[in-house]
Amino acid sequence: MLIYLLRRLAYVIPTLIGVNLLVFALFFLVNTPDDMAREALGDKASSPEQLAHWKASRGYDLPLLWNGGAAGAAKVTRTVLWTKSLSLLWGDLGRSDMTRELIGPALRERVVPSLCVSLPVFLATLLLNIVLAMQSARRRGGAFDMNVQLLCVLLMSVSSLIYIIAGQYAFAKVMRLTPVSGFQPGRDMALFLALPVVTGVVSSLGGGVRLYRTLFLEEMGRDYVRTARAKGLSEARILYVHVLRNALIPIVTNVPLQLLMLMTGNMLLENFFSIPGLGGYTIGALRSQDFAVVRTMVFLGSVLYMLGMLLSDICYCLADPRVRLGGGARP
Amino acid sequence: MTTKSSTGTTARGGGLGPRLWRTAPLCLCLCLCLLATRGCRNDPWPSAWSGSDTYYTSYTAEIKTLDPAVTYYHHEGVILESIVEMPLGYDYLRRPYELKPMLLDRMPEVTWLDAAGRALPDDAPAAEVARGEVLLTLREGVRFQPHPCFARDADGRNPNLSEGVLGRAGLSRPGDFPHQSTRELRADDLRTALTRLCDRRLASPVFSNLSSFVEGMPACSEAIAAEVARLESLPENAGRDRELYPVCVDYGRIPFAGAEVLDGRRLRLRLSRKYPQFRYWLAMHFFSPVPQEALEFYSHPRIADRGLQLRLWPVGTGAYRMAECLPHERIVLERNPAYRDVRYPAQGAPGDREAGLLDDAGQRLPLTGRIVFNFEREPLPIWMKFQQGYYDDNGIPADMLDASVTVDASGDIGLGDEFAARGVRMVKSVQATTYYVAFNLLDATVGGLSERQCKLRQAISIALDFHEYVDIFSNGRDIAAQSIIPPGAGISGSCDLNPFTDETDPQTGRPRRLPLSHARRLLAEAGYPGGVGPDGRPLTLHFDDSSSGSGWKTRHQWLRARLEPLGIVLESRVTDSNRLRDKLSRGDWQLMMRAWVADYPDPENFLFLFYGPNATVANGGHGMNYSNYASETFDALFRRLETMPDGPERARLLAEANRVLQHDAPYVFAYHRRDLLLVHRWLRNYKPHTMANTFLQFLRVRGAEREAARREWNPPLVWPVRLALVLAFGAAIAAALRPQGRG
Repeated sequence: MLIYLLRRLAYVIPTLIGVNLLVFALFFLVNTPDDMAREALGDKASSPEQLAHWKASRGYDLPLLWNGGAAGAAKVTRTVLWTKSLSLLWGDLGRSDMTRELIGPALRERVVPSLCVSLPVFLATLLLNIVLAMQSARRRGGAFDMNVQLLCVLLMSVSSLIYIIAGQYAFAKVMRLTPVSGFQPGRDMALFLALPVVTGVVSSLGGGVRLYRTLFLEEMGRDYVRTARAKGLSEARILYVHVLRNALIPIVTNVPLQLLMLMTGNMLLENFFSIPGLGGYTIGALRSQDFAVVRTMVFLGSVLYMLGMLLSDICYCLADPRVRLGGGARP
Repeated sequence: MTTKSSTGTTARGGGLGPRLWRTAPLCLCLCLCLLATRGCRNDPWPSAWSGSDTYYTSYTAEIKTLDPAVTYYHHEGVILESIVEMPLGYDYLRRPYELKPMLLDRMPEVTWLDAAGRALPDDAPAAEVARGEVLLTLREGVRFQPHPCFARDADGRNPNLSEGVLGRAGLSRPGDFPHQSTRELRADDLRTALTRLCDRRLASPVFSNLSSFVEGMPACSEAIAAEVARLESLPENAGRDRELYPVCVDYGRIPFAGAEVLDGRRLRLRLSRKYPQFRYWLAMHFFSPVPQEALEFYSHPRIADRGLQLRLWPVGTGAYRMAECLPHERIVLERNPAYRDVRYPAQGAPGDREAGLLDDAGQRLPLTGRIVFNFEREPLPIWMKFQQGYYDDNGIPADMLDASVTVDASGDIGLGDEFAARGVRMVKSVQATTYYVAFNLLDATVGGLSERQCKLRQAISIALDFHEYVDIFSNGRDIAAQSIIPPGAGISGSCDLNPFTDETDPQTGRPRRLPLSHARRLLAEAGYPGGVGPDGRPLTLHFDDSSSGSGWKTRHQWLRARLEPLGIVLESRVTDSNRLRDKLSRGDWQLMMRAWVADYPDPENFLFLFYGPNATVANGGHGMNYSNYASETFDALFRRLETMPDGPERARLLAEANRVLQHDAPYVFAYHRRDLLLVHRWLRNYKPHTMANTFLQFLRVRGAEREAARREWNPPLVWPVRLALVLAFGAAIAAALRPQGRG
């Protein structure tokens, strides 16, 4: 397992370099440092001198990929790619190109509101998915199952945006139960989070229930279930103890990945509910062509994704004794 | 009874007792949920602010900076200009807009001088004026807001910068520092502000403009750069991160020919040419005083480490000071305790008294104790909160216009019944903004100034009927433009009719487009009969645009449809804003739609868009004359009226300049934006002002009335949720009570 982990970690660096290069290429294919400077300064302040100063103050006066005028290693290190993009690999997040705000503290400040929304959404969705899928699988072909399937298809057919707007209209405007939008830490936090969490859960329910139902049905057809029934175990015990334990393996192993990805925030929810999290931070950076923040958020997403994948593998190994990392399955 | 299996588990459900016991968690959850519904309310504001005289508003674009040398956006300006003051300000009530002293004791004393230094009369031609001198005399007794930067101990040092204070936790706002002080405004604070504009590190958006009429700005910029380099080379600054901890320049020691401090209250500005519009600049926040102490305080590395910067925590003499600054959440301003005695105006424009705008005449300002700016990224939540009474005023989102207003037969817009019943008022105002479809005058097809080429553009201008556009896309809210200068925005020089595109409707007395037959005739005279060019192919034009989305698609369709009857094919090229800028700088485009927002209420601020020397391509992409229009006739008129005071002669020249532009048609004058603002009944004294951002101090909020309305309008409707909870949990409990059977 250790060798496997080391090997996986060794893959991380070239992958991150690849992601960085890709983001860099995509960003600078459609933007130039001049474009960024104009965006920051506005049309009225973009004289050649001001553009030059903006670029120089932020390090965009360097060549993008290759500094032919420099000597030795500086041909590579005195470039925008090295100073702005690859610097992330050694933890230098830098400053926002637009506000000059340090990105590290900004991430720390915004990750909490993001998690305040995305974590309850994730947990509640997971729980509801499992319960509904289990009940649906248990009553396969019955009225309950049919209704749940129909509901799932309906839920999946509607855009998340509609849930948000309809939720705001119904719960905040018509029934006046929660604020339309906003965020307040402390005592009132639950009041502000109730609506985004409910809409987040409803909008992500359909697909999960259908997937989990399939997993449960697959498990329920296995021999050990038949054996358990033959032994006279109650249906509840068969389902909630034996079937659930086995069916949860693919679910639980995916949890670390999803949990880590929660940190990057939910752009749509944060945007409409004015939650000062990382989703909104990313949208703002994309709108203002803030390369420093964009590449940091993509980099952060990549790191978390790879870390999540690694943890998933480990969880899989722990959850299923038959699986060994770095080798074949145990006999 | 239960039957024990070999594994020791129940085989067939359980007795009623255990089953009841199993439902206990569900019952508990139901009780908790029902209990939680008792706390339901939709009030987004802290309860401590209930009933207070707090004004609530929102902003939808992120705050980048509140540094007076850099801020350019309107939403930032509203916040900043509540904190800082300018030498001059606009009268809040009078129309047309009238400048009056704000920080100054009297209006600036201006002297125009010839090359020999002799004083010239005010109406001297610009060509005879070699330079100008402006004497600014500050008001006595103006004090800065209490701030830790002004605190001094017996040794003249700032005690807040001692290790004992800086080592403390919880210093996240200037108000958290233990030593607060203030001091009187001095002329050198004004000079510091002006000198800072020359600091290249700040990239002030107005440096180029100001350099064109204030003496010595480029030289001052060089001197600052040299001083910065000297400071950075000092041993104590070796290894200092220039971005994190920029060195602090003592701007008072930087030579600056354009601003001379005569004494504590007097500053002399030197202008390099005749430019009467400079007085409007004195009403912009770029000219708000900046104390050197604040710059030194914020440049301290330990202060910078706490995220305290001038760009977020400006220091001023205005009615308010910053209490909370979370740009991505909200900004809260509170009354500045050191604000001098300023009173609500006693006189206004005709109709103000009847509208209740003089009810607070003579009252000390500010009338509202706290201002809350809340960051909302989407318009819909703002609109809902306004309807619930949680925002005090709001514009009408385009999607909500139909549901909110009524339009009578004459096209006048009124308030919908729902709002009228709640006592909401609608305030209409014309923005100092003009939208236009520009032609590239360098283009071989749509460019040029020959009569034939002008007729082509006139024909297109007629076909693009913006009266219809306004009816379709803004429900008649906006005003179809007749010239570049908006009417009713307090700016002289607007005109009622463009005779080359419009005629007066005899029934309504309002302008309407000339018939398409007229456009066809012009097109034929331009060499495109039936829209067919000399090569026998239909005239095909390209419309560049950086907007996208469904809204713009329909607009493009409208533009295409309007040109079809002339036989002209319009092809839309949607591109991103960067590519559009490239095209503009290269002159590689034919038509595009843009807008201009005036900086000050003078027609010169619109007409300079057509001045030949400002052409974009000739200036390497940096001039504001995007059309690259270069007419000797217009340029000569512009040079005369640019520096002329308002009067009959200027009015005549303005009319002539308008006529030249209407004939040459470098733009299709599209429309002027009209704001419809809804104001709740408890917000008093609101009068729209398109130029000044200092209006917040004049607003009065009747907190108790608002609180009563909020309670009346927002009683929580809890029973449907409670019913749903009881049904859901009831079903679950019933299922749990059912005996478990084998599958």
